[in-house]
Amino acid sequence: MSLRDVQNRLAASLAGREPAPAGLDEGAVERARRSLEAKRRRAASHLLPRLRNAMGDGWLARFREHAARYNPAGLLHHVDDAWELAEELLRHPDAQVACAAHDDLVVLRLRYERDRRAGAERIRERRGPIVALMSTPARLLVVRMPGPDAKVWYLKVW
Amino acid sequence: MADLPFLGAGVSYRDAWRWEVIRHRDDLGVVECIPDDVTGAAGLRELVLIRQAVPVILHGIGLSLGSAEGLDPERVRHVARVVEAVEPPWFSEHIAFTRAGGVEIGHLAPLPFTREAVAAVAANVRELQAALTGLPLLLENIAYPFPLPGAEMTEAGFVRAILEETGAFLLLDLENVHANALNHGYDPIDYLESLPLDRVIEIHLAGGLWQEGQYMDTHTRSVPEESWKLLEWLVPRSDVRAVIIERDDDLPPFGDLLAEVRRAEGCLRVAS
Repeated sequence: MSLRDVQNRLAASLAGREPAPAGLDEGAVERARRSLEAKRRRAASHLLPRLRNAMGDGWLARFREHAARYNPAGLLHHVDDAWELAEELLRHPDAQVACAAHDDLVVLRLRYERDRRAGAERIRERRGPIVALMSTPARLLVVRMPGPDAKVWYLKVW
Repeated sequence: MADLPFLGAGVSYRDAWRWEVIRHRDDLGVVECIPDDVTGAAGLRELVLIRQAVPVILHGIGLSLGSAEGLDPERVRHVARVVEAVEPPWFSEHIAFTRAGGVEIGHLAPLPFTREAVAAVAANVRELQAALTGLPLLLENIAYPFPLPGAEMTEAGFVRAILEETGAFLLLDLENVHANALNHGYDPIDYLESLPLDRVIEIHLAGGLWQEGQYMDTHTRSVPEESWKLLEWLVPRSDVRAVIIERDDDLPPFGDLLAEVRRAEGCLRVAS
C-alpha cells in the first residue's frame, strides 16, 4: 500500500468513517479515535459554554453525532467545529438549547468571521461590524464596530 | 548552527497568559507561539507586542509535513506571513501528518518508518524552506499511540534519515520520548543515544497522564521527574539553545509554570 493510501485510510478511521487499516492494532486506533473526539468535545465545550450547559446530559451523545458527520477544517478547525455545531442547534426544538446556541454563536462572531467554502483560512479574525441580541446572562444588545481590535458594547435591554 | 542564539528557558504562549508573560518577561528567556492561531492583523500585532517583551520562536502544528499529498500552499503562505512579521531565529514543525484525503485529523498522526515517508517529508520540507527563505528549520519527534506497519528502520533511524535528507535541526520533545518509551517498551536513553544529538537545538517538556492503559502526552500536567532526568542527561551532550515548558489545558497559576522554567534554566546553566 502506498503512503498516500495508508494516510487516507488512517485519517478516515481516526474520523470514525472506516475501520482501522490492515496491520494496525484495531483497539489502539479506536482508543485514538475516542481520544480525538474527546479533544474536539473539550474544545467545543470551552467555545460553547451556554450550549454545553443547556444540553446537560444530552451533550455527549449530540456531540458524538456531530463529530461523526462533520469534518472540521482550516487553521482554527476547533472554532470551525464549534461554529458548525452551534449553527446546527439553532433549530433545536428545545427553545433553551436554541437560545444558548444563538448566544454562543454571537460570542464567536464577535471575534471571528467564517467562510465555510474557504480552505485553511475559513475562520478569520473579525473585521466587520455586528449588531445582535443576546439572552444570557441578561437581555443584551451587542454592538461591535468595524475593524480589527474594534470596541464592543453590551447594552442592557429592558 | 553557531549563529543560532542561546535563548534559555520559557513557555508555550497562551492568550490567557498574555499579561503574565509581559509582567514576568525578566524570568522568561523565550516564548514559543503557534502561527496557526494567528488569524489576522490583531493576532499579528499581539505577537509583535509579545516579541517586544520576550524573544519569540514560532512552532507550527498544522503544516502536515509528512503528507504524501504535499503541502497546502495556503498554509505555507500563512506561516511565511507570520514569520515575516515576527522574525524568529528559527521555525519548527512536527515529523507527522495532520490531514489526508480531505480529513483534518486535529492531531499529529504518525508516519511509517519507511524510505517513502522520509522522501515525502524531505520534499515537503524543501518546499517550506524555499518559502521561508533560509530561516533555520527544526523538526520535532512526536508521541504516537501505535506504530504503523511496514517499518524499514527504527524510530530513531527514521528521525536521523529525515534530518540528514533535509539538513534540518532537531526539536527534541523529551515528554514524547518518555511517553513512547513507556508505551512501546524501550529504554529512553538508548533511544536518545541513537539520535544525532549535535543537531538538537530546542527541547520541549510537558506532562501527560495515563488513559486506558496508555501514557498520553496531554500537556495538562507538570513535567514528570522522568523527563527532568532525560533533560539532565541530554543537556551536557548537546548544544541546546532553548527549552520550552508546554501546557495546553488545565492551565496552572503562572507561578507554577515559572518554577518549571527556573528548573529548566538551572539545568542549562549547570551544563554551561
